[in-house]
Amino acid sequence: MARSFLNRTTLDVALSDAKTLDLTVGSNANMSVGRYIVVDDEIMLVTALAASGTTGITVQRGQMGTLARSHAAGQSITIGNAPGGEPDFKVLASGEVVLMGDPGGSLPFYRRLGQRARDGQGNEYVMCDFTGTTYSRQPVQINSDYTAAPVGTTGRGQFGVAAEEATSDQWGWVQIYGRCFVQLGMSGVSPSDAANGPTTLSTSQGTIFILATSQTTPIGIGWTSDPSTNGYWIVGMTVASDASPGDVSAVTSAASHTGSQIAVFLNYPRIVYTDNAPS
Amino acid sequence: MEQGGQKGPVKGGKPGVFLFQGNNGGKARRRPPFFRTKKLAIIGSTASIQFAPWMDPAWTIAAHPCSRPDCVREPDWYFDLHRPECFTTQQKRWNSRYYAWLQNLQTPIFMQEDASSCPRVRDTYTETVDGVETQKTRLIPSPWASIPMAVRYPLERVLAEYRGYFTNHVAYMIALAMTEGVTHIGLFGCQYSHETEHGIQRGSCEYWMGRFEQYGGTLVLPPRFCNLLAVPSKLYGYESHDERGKLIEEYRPKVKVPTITRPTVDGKGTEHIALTPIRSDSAEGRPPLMALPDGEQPAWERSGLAVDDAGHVIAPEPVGAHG
Repeated sequence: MARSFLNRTTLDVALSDAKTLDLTVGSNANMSVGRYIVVDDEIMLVTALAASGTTGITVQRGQMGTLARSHAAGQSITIGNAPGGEPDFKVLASGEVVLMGDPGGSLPFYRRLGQRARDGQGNEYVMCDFTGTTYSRQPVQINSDYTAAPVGTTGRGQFGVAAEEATSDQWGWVQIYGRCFVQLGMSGVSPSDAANGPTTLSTSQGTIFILATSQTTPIGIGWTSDPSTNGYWIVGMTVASDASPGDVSAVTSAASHTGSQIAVFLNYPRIVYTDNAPS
Repeated sequence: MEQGGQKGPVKGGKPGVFLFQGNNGGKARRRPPFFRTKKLAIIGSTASIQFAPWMDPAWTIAAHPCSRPDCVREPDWYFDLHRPECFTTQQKRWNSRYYAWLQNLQTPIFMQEDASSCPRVRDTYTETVDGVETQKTRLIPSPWASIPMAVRYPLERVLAEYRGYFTNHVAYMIALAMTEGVTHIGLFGCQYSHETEHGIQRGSCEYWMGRFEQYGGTLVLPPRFCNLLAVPSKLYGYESHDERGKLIEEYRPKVKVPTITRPTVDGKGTEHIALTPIRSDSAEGRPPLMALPDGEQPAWERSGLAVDDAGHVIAPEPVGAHG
């Protein structure tokens, strides 16, 4: 299960050296003096908030044995809890900063957003912050700050398949490489055709996954086998080689999602827009 | 009992923490034997610290400064053998003003150098004259010179006598104690069982505990909350496997790994998928999302549909139904 975790904001102005102490952030609303924040693998201590405005903070760099270094604008800042409780962060011998688990301790070394991991089958996942209710195996768009949400009818950028259920502001894994099942859903198109190309067109064409032009509930991914179709294509996701024609399974579990799903192979997919597909 | 130079409560580095002075304060011997008694208690910060012999004058108490907030009285010795950058440039979570605390410390502390024997150190810097950079050196005050109670740890003497397998402070303390004829060593609040550098350090700690017992010393371990030389408690081979031939719980790795928990594909059960984190700086690590130089798009695509410079899909050849 995904977990609720710490507040975050962004670094609005890049830190070009290891000495700068005054930071401009997206918002200092969840910060206070004495809290630790993490940017990349550097831990900083908040020593003051700007007297006016909501975006300025002063910090001490390179805390808890981490190395002060430069950081690009837009990097995510994870904000620790108020001082006095259990540590929110831990520095591994490798220098990596990891987040400590939730109070229950079921996830003692949950990583930072953007952390990648691999399972025993070679599938690869990335840690994301879900911005809305998401079911496992739903297609999601991954934004530059590692927020993720079920795909819409438009969009560009990184794409993945939610590996676990989550609600808003929870962190969880999104699969970006390897074999998995993905939720299907697109009004007016038969799910059973996805593994074989829509039969109304041509079974000799491969399935091309696209953002649905009209969505079903819950949200799924659409498809076509017509390469002249303009729209939002999922590049790097194909029907899994071990799926048989018409091999689309139905899911009715309320704890997961409802609808249909198909086995696919992800190869670091992303959403691109095409308006010049040849007919 | 020898009393230290300062009487009564001593204000510590952490606000609000006051400790009664120990036996050595302010009058440390700067040559062997360093320890006042033949019983040495090494103090950590885990639960078994409650069993430490705080008020027994037969014991000399030694602790790392990070354990000070958990101490009942001021230790007789501190030890911090890290390089100076670790205490001059870093702020410690357990003491936000650690360097200042060291400078005002009234209890002797083993460090890499002595306050008096190393007044200056050589500093290399770059000087630019007419655009030409030149490497120069100069002598600057030693960081140890500002810590009056710093006592040089006799590393050479220890290395000359013992194998140089030191991955933690406890190991250094045990080795030094052996050179001084200490007869009893107690470890209180010392656990090495986490998925951090401490896990790596346990082997060295137990090695030195074994060396001390072989040398004829008596190890005093707390009755509870101590896994050193005690866990796993079952004999390997004879007791480590159950009737199905599987490792018993005590022998399984205790580190919890990131796990995905979700309904199975058919929605009728639950599956758990263990993950192995990928280090971002490893050879297989890839750049973070959207963080490539010059705004370059992530090149995650390894196969499948190609995209032109404008981000448009280059139409694929028909590939059949099975991808």
